[in-house]
Amino acid sequence: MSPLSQAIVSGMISGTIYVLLATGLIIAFQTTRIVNLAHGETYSIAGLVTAAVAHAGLPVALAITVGIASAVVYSVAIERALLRPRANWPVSSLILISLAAAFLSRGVLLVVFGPDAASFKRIFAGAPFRVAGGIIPQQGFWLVIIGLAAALVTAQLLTRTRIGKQLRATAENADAAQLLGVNVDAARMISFALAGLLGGLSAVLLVPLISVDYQAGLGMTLRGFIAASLAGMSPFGAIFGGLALGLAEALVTTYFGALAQDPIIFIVLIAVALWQSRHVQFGGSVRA
Amino acid sequence: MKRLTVFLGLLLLADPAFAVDRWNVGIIAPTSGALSTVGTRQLSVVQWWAQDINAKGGIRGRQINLIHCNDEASPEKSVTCVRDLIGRGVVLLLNASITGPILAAMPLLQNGPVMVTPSPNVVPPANSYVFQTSPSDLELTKAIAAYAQANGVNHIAMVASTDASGEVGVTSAAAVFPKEGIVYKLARIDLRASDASIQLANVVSDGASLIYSNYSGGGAATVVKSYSNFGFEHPLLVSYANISDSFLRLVKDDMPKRLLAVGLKAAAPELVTDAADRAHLDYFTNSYLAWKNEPVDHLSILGLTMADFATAVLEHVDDPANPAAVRKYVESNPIASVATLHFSAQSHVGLSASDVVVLEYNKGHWEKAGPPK
Amino acid sequence: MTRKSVLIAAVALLLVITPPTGLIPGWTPALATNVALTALALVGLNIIFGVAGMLAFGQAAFMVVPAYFAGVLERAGFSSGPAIVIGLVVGVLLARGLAELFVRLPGVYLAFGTLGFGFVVEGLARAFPAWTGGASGLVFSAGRAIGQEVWYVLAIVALFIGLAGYVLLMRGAMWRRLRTIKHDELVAWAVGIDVTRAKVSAFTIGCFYACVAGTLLCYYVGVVVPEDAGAQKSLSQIGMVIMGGPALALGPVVGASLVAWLFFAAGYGGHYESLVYGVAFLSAVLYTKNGLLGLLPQSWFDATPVKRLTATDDAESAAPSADPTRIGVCLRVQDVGKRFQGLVALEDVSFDVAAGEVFALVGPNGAGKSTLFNVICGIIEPTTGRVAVAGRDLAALPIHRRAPLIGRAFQVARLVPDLTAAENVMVRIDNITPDLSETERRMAALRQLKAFDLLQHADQPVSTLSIGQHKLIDLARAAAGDPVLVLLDEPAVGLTESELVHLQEVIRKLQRRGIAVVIVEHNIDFVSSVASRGLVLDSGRPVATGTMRDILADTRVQKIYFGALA
Repeated sequence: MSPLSQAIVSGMISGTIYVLLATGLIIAFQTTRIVNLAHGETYSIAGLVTAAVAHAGLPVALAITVGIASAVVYSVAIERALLRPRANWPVSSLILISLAAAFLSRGVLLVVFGPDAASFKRIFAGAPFRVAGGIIPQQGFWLVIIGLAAALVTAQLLTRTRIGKQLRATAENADAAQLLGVNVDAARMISFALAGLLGGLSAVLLVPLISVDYQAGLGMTLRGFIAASLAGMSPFGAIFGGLALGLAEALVTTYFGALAQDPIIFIVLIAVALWQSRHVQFGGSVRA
Repeated sequence: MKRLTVFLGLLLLADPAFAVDRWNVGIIAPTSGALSTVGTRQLSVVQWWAQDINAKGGIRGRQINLIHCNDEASPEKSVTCVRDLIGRGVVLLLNASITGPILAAMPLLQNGPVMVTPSPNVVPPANSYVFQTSPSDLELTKAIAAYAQANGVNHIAMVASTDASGEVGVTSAAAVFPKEGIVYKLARIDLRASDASIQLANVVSDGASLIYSNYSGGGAATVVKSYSNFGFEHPLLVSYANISDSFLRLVKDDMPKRLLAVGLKAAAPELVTDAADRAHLDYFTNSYLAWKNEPVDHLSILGLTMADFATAVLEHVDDPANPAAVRKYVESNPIASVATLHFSAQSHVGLSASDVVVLEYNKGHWEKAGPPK
Repeated sequence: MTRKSVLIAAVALLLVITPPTGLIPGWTPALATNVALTALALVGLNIIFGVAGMLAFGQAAFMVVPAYFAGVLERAGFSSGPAIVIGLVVGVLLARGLAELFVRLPGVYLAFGTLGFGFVVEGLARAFPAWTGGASGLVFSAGRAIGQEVWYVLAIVALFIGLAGYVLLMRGAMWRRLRTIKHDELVAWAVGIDVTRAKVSAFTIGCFYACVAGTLLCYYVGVVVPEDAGAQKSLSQIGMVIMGGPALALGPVVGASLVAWLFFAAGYGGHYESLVYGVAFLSAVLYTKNGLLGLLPQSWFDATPVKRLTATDDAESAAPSADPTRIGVCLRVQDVGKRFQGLVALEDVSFDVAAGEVFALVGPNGAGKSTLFNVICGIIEPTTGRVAVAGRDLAALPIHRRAPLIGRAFQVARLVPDLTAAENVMVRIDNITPDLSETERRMAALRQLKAFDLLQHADQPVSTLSIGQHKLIDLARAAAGDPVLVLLDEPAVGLTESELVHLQEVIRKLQRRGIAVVIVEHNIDFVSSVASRGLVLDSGRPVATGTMRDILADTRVQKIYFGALA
């Protein structure tokens, strides 16, 4: 058993989750210019709903479908009900709205599901794989495969296809996009639905390996944003950003201990933020 | 004018602070925030206790008026709660919160009222009005050491969280294990970790015969699930807070070969030898289940010890609002609960390692653990 | 009884009179003490976020840093007094240092950077339990020496001192400066504000409030735990500021009281506090422009009546002085070129503009006219060439230092909506003639507005005025303080016939003052009527230059505008 190999394995697993979360944030950002701070709630909603349905005795496949669907519905509802009617508000206000929505959904989850953590059975059971001195459960292995594949497909969609370009056009200039025939409303809805799908997917893949409670959302949003920043808000970059974050956390924990993890990671975040924004002038104001 | 006076008079009577024929008992329990499971669970138990006592006619003819304050597991709010409850005239303060907030509350009670808490992480100074009704974390660790020694285990792998209970666990381990000749390797795990494989890979070596994690709640599930990936032969020993159905529900699909836990003998009722204690425990188990539709777990049992303390004080101390009188009584008289609580002028911790046992989960219930090998 | 004093009385009632009476359930002196100290920290956050617009999530961290330092020193043997003083000094110095870092982060990056800072402080507190008490907490016993009643009074007094400080600081030039920065950083630079310095000041002052309030709170509570520095706390504090009313002095008090009381009220009923808090927060963001306090009618917040122009002041502005020192070349652009990674935006642009002359820049869209303006203002650095104003080479001069020489009116009028017309003009005056008193600045702004025939709108918030009026105010601002050069970017767009005539008069007034004017315009009729000479740009390159008549007759120019002619 090699600590280094284990660190890499664990880092890949958590990294893939961050990739999925980052991609969801990036899609919403690329379509609407809003950093959706309620994104992580899709993770906790999907996780808790799936656990509740599975606990009620229904087959796991059904539970997972219902869980992911609820994450999608939630994400679309945020866009439709809260953000779209206020599309002309300044971006900072909209970001605050998403933060407030995150608080509200947390409160609702606490009332509905209580404070206890919940989990459900792994989809991919069986003996774990041993790889180069590290151990990865089958669920973890497939998590990495499926997660990265989903992120890749989404990145392709966003950058290479016509639909993707239309989605991005609506962020640049919604009016112009509309005049060019892009259905702006549909574009925004699709992008938030996709984000919800990815958030829900991350939950149904990861929660069987740990657990989820009503508070998990905000932490996931934060991690997703760090990965998205590292990626420079680019969909393909998200894959590297997420994995880099996951591996960095794992390696720091292995060699410096869990207590060092937060200070080191966040100092790196601040440094990355400084680097990334070195070209942004005038607080990101519209160009003169 | 007369109607107004009557109305106001009724209002005053309705206000609990003015009800002179009741025992005002305050309970500080975090029902939101970080460890709300603990607060919620123990609040429920105390609520059960209040309604159970009142249904039987109260104590010495007076009903219990329970006043809850949610301190959100924050020292800032805890201070406000304490002051608020004192202002409302509570004669006794129950505290189901966590270490930091309890430490903030303690200095405010220089002149009483008496406060009782079941948190093993708190060791109240012996000259204070604060009492702790469960074994301290040190005692729990001693029980683990005793189990290890009795079974020839001298090498333990330990995973501790980065929160207050983890911190206390680390201190206890350092104080207990080396003295008993037990070697241990320690790794800390972050509160929000998504996997404990790194920690387990770091601490488990061929020499270790026992893996101990003092992590509670959802995080402990992470340890158990990561553990199951490794296919270890070692038994996994978890903390008392995980002796609960909600925890078992979390890990039922990933149970280790042998799941052990350290806790009060009361967690495995057949280990409670005193007949009165056993009857009390059984009564609580059945009544609580009927009332709340929820089975009891170790956290609820700890809540019960707190409630039993309150019962003893209200029954036997003439003026419970007099903290010196309460202290005198409690320090010189054993208190019956699911085990007997002994306080003294030197120790305000009611239970000790002799009340603690290492248990094993077998065929759906907890029993005394056999040897690790 | 003015409205202001009603507000103050209401706060006094809320914080001082009602708690001891127990009239409102749960609203006790203990809670009020807590609220007052929290509100004090929030006043600082209000400066950073409410007024200056920096979304910072690090206030909670700055609240505990001094206390942690003091606690560590106490453990090392220091007595409380010196420990607290050293802790505060360290906290403020840290804030000052980190401010340099943080204010350079835009928007969301600042939010996450400061949030990260909170995690770093929390993580460090956990990582060194021997010093900081770790996760179990650090205990302070010095606060015990003071009784609850004294703490209550101390907290209220501290809060009032803090509020007084806020009212004294957040007015006049400082207020205008921060509001401009919040609304539009580019404009802030262009009117002469050193935005970075201003933001650093605001951030440091705000953190100072956090340090003082936090230290008081930690000693009052007696225990500080790592979570007190963390994300949860900082996020809820922003929520309180928003719910109370950002940029309003009493907003933090209302917000802190509301949230604390809501939690107490909802806390007696099980798990509902988070839900109630979420509903309150969301409602505040969705339905109130300015939080709970902002629901009061605007008239409650208007400043005391200000000086109006008198007849004598009037006379001064009647005769526009032609500055005798203003002769010769005011603007010299020499061989200016700009490349953006291979794309040629400008190449070989050269022209002179003399004092009192109006020079036209014409050309199709995308020809580089705005880019040229940006180069002259200092917003963009030219790849080649030089720009000199009043004989002075501008090469090394940053934007805000060019502002006294150059006034710019933008394509879309960029005014600060919640400032009045006079205040918008005063922002520029604040920065180019900082030696004037507040009254003198106001007089100067009023005179400027009068010269532009806008005096009747002086004290109206610009959000209530029309686009045409916006453009004129933008112009009045650009010309305030008689800069050497004024750049007008499509001033005629969207104006009515009569407004166009007015604009012509305005431009002539500028000329009479000796100001050199460069005007970008598509309305050829209009620009021919005001400009004497001009330059035609196409794809960044000069096509023709000379008098207006000459360039309009030039076939190359006609081809650009109208395609090939018959």
